[in-house]
Amino acid sequence: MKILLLSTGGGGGNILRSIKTLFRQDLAAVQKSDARYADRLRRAVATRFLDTNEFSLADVPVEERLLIGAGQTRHLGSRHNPAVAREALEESRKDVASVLDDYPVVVLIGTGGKGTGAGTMFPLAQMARERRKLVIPIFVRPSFEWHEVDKRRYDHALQVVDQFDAAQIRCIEILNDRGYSADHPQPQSVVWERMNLPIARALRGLLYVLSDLSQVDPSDLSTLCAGAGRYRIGFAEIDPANGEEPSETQIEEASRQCWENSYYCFTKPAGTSLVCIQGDWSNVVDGRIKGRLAAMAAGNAAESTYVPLHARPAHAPRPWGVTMLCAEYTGNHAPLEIAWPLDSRVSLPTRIQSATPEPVPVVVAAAVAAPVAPPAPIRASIEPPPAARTFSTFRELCLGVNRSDVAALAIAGNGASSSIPIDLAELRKLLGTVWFRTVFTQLSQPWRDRMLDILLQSGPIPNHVVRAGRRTARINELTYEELRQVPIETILPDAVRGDVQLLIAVGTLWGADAIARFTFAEEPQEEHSKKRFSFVGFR
Amino acid sequence: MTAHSIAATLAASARTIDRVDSTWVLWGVLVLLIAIAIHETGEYVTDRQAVLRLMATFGERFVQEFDRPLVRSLPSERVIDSRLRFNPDRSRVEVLLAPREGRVYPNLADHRKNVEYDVGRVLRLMKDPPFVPEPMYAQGRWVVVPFQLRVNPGQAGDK
Repeated sequence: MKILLLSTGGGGGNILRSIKTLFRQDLAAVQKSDARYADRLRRAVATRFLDTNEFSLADVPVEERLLIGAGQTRHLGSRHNPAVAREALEESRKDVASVLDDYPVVVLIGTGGKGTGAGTMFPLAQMARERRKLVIPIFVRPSFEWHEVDKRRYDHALQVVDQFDAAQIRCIEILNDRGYSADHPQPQSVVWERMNLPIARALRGLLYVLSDLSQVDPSDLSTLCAGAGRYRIGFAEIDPANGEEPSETQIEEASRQCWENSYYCFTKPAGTSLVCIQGDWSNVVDGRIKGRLAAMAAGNAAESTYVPLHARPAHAPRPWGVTMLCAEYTGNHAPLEIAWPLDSRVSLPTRIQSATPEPVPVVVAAAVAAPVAPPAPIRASIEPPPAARTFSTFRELCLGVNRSDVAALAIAGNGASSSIPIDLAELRKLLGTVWFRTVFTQLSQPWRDRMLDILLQSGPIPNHVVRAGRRTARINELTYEELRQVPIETILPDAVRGDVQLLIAVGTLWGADAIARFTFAEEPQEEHSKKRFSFVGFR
Repeated sequence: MTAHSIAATLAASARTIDRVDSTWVLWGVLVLLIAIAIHETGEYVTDRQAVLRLMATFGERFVQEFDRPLVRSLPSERVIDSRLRFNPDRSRVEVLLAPREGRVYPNLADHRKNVEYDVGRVLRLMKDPPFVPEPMYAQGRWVVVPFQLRVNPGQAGDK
């Protein structure tokens, strides 16, 4: 799964340059402790600089430039006119769309100062949303009080934000006003770094959830991103001494720093939020961090709207810390329909079977969310075949495969005689996650056959009645392609949705023919007619 | 005959007037004058109150619209101080605006163009208000934006 960082206009480009630099600094630090992990992060992020002005992209690598509106602007800029920028985007719509199509997650960065950013920020977000991308727009509202722009342009920036609200597209709104403090004046570069660092650092957390493995499913992210309102990104580094736990003060300070970000517009209580903790310390520390964040999110409210989604890598190289993508609570919203891809994911590092002259680090770490403190990572060189490791459940094995654990990869590549049990409920849950699709490609044919057999033997699937396009049909009458459209076009009850998504996953992983091998149980007629009525109502 | 009857009528009227006590006449005139004065004062007060209401409504709406884009990031916090100064006799209202602590807008020292733009923006939003702006000026920390009640063309005798 790759994330596209797309800037628009001069201001957005400056922010992206800064984020890129900060992310690279992080990568350099990660490189020292885990080169493969660093490589994985590096390949998971792509940057593109969209602009109407060729000159402002002079220092950007050619392959990262995305110039729009040749006819409209002759690549000389939008003349500080958002309308011209909008037309330029319209002119180059195909080019931009083809870039967006390669990435399921788009972090869009722009400022509302002058022409290109102000004119294209919203249409770009809308374009990404229409293409069922998970889009996180980062929009900077410039300061007129401190003479960055005049009031007219500031008001235009407000209109852009209104457009996001009207279209129910959540965004991060950074308020440049908050970067000026008469009591504690700071150089502009310091302020910008403070504004941008949380974004750069939070990328690691987001990447972990999207392309690694996690207790947080992409569907949870679809819920987090649904509805209008604002996001806030928080980050705090926690740097305990080697082999030691972070102190109480460090935990307190990090939680506070992660929660507070005075640069962001965030006026409502916190709703669904993604909290990613990275660091090799005990679960007691995790619990304290989560508790502090929850206390700050709840505040003095009688009923808290805060719903944390915790993501916890079992192994993460330094720099460690906690990142938080917090969404304002603006009511309950249906999850967004995001087209999570199957093919454009980052390929995992080379398997153990390939001849690697250099020693490959083996990381033996506790499973995700282990109830006891995870042991410190043990590093060793692989020369002989890997020592047999036990994975008590199939999920544990998959987690191991996903983090390129050599022992897990060895079992996954063979595994015909493995005694690891496959639990049906666990398998169904795994099939619903995006990261498992990457794991699936690493599993041998016997593993795949075994999984499919378990699904087929689990008993008949209720033959639900669903809406497919304009007609109503039972799910066994639908083709794989039609099935795929059902959850996108219709709001389904949870039970029906689960079954439909199972069939889609089977069709995706084993092929459309595998769906036909399931047996379907006819539902009672009364129930059928009731459900048909309810589906029509849901449309 | 005719002349005789007219003279008789006049004589009868004179006799009637002679019989009326002049004190009552004076009281009557006084009461009449008081009634007229009360009526006029009432009209004046009513008009004045109407003008004041008009000015207050306009002033409050003006401040609200002026303020609106500035408080979006934290709606619970006001970012400007405001006052209204009325002069109903001259049909004039003055809106006084000043930045709150920690803020710099509005001021005329370095934000005159922005304040002028904002006044225009607010008046456009208010869609043809009955007041016209006059040149603004600074008074201490306040920016004073004077408005004059627009004279009704009919009242001005314009045809």
